[in-house]
Amino acid sequence: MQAKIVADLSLVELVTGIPEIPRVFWRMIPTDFDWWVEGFGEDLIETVLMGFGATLLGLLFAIPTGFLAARNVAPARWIYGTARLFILGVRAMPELILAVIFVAALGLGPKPGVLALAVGLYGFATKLFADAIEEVSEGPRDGIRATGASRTQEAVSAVLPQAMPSIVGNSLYLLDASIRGSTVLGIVGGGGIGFALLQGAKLLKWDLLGGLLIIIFVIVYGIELISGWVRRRII
Amino acid sequence: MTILHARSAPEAPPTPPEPTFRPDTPPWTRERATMWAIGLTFVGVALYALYDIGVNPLTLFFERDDIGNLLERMWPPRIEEFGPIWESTLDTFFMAFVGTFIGVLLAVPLGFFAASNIVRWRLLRGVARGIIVFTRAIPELIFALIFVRVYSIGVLTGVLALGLHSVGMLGKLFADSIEQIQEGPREGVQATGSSRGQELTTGIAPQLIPSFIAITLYRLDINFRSATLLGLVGAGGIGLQIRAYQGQLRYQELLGVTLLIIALVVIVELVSTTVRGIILGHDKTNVSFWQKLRGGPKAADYRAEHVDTAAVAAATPMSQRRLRPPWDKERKTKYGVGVG
Amino acid sequence: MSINGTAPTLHDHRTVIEVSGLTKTFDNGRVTALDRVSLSVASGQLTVVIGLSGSGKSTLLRHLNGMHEPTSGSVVVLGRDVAALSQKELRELRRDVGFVFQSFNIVGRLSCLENVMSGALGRLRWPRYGVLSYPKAIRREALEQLDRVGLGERAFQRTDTLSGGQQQRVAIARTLMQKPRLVLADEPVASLDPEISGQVMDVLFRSCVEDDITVVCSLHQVDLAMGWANRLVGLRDGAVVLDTEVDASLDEARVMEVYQRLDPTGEKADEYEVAKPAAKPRVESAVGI
Repeated sequence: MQAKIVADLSLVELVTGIPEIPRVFWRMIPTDFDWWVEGFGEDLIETVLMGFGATLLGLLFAIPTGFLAARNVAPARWIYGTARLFILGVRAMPELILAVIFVAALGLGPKPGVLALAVGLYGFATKLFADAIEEVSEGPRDGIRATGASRTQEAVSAVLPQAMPSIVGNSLYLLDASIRGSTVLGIVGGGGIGFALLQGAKLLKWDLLGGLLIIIFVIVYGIELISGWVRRRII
Repeated sequence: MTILHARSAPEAPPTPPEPTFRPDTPPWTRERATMWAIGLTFVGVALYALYDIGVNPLTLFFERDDIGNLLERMWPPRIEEFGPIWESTLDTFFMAFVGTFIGVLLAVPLGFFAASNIVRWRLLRGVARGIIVFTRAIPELIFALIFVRVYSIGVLTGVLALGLHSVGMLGKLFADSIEQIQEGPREGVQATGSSRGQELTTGIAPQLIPSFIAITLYRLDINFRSATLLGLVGAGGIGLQIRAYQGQLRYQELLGVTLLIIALVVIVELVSTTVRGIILGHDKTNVSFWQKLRGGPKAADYRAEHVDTAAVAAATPMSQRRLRPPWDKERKTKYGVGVG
Repeated sequence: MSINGTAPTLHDHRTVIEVSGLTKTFDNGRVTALDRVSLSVASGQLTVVIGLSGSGKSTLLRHLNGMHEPTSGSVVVLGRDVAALSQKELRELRRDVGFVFQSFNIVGRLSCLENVMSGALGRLRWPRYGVLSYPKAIRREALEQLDRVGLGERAFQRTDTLSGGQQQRVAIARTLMQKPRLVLADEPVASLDPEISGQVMDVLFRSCVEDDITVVCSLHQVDLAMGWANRLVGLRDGAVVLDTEVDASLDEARVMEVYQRLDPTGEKADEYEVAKPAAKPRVESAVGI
């Protein structure tokens, strides 16, 4: 089996293919700007919206779970253990498979796509948040506890403010990843631009593919710039 | 001694200000306003999105009938023929390995070119950063779509797609890591009159090894998950099979393969976390795995025999001194894993 | 509980703290932090606890608000047996007992005002986040407390941008916000410069006297409390070796005795004396194996 794989990856094939690549990229440069924007503008917007929606949904559930999965904040040891294990399981499921499952259950369209993205994001975000919460220093918590605050009050007033820079930074990164993820979900039937991309590739409409990719790039880059700015201020 | 009477009478208290109108909420700076604007915009767009698409936090609950229906059709999971399926899965994992390797190969120099403390020439840095952002923005699936046209269906496509996309994240993290090194060791090497290359290998590289390894393992982890899906568009591996099952509505086989993938991903994750811990030399306390499971090392475990090693070393005659570090368990493991 | 907590009336003459036979050991009995400590504090008293590092001052104070549990003996604060309280009851007790820490324990990223307002959390129902989520009355009150400690203009500044002394004053304001009957201060100025220490101790004591709050404060430097304290308690190796009113007849020598260390050879080395040259080397040379 090893030999078969190595043969597949023959260097010769790789090298002979290389000149092809620039040609493909060249063909991807769009010449005619109007028609595909009209046709796929809607899809593009849907893709972006999917990313935003999934992020909000995932974050909503990830923050409380993050607290439960943090060793220093969880109400009991077994809660912490179970939460961490559960998150591990959720994260093990690749998003596309989740999308396939949701599409099979709910039909085509952006709805299963958003759900799949949200679940995937939920798993990842919870881990990031829990890690951030575990790094919080104990001193301020002692201080708040000494005023007679309840456990929830302590979590909101002493733990959350300390973990805030991490949480916000991670959330912005997750938004970015979400939008990128939503671009491909269409391939299996979730909504968005994915389907168009697939068709473009299948029908060898390189300029279509190229144009869409450029727009995706611009959107993602824009989000990254904003999130970079925000992250710097938050610290 | 007069310490008890050393201080004079306590000073007069600071007089509280006259009761004029005082704000009890923070002032609105431009920065604060912008932050709020951005935050509200994000939330607003997200809420609109959810409304438009028709999803809300309770959707999973409302759709439980449909989902339950599907789960019924998926149970019990079935694996058609274990042999080819297993082979495809191994293909997938192999693809992830090689892809990450290629990614690292390309990303390391790229990261250096993009680091502001290594390269002065702005244009070069900009181009490097541009490449990094570009490869990061394009999902690997899209790369795969493109490469399938060039190299046709097969593992090679997947490897290249993964490799190129990984360059994005690896390059970014590498560059950030490089920019955060301490200047001290680097200046120290420079002061000895070394060449640029020597400065790199002795002054800069040693600081970066732990984080580069951690970053690589992290990406490898992610790539394992991604690799499974590349097959969906024609790169090798298990993805093809998944696509087939979806088309044929063979849900039981789908669940079977999914569970297999999940199990493997979990195992890989556990292995990689352990490996990361070993290579980075965490956990110097000799606490066994079982002790940790029971609830962490106790204070007594941290006591170690205190031997004045420096004095012992100074006292041993030079001919008998070790010139290389001893092959203890940690070092052996590190090398073994690296070579593997 | 109403927002306007009422301060206790003057000259209550009630016993605020009653500690009897308190013993605390750590590490399965290997380390004795407190040895049969008995102490009684009346309402309105300003008590200072002195002693060397490791004499048990911190441990004693932390028993008084339930942060430690006694190995044996009893601790009764404000009429309640601390060791027997449930979580909920302990929280209620802590609303009436303020604690000032050596390391300030304020939340650095929050503004001074937010830190002070968090002192009122015990009185409010829901967890709060951010300046706008506290009721207006609380915000006004917190501003007044900040004024009292001299930090009114810095209400919206991030707390970790202030100096150590200022941060501790914010912590004191937070404690005052609780409207406690008792304030415990554990080495409140040990991390601060000598000149600032005096100011901070003044702020602490003056505010407590104004509000008629009982104070138990542990200190390294006795002179900081002079001029305020009316009672002195000395600990050595976990036991009470001094318990006296502070007035003109106070014998300095007795106070200094608290700091003396008795070593096995019987020679007394006074902490405040210049160290004599060591008679023999302290560490055997390791060379010569």
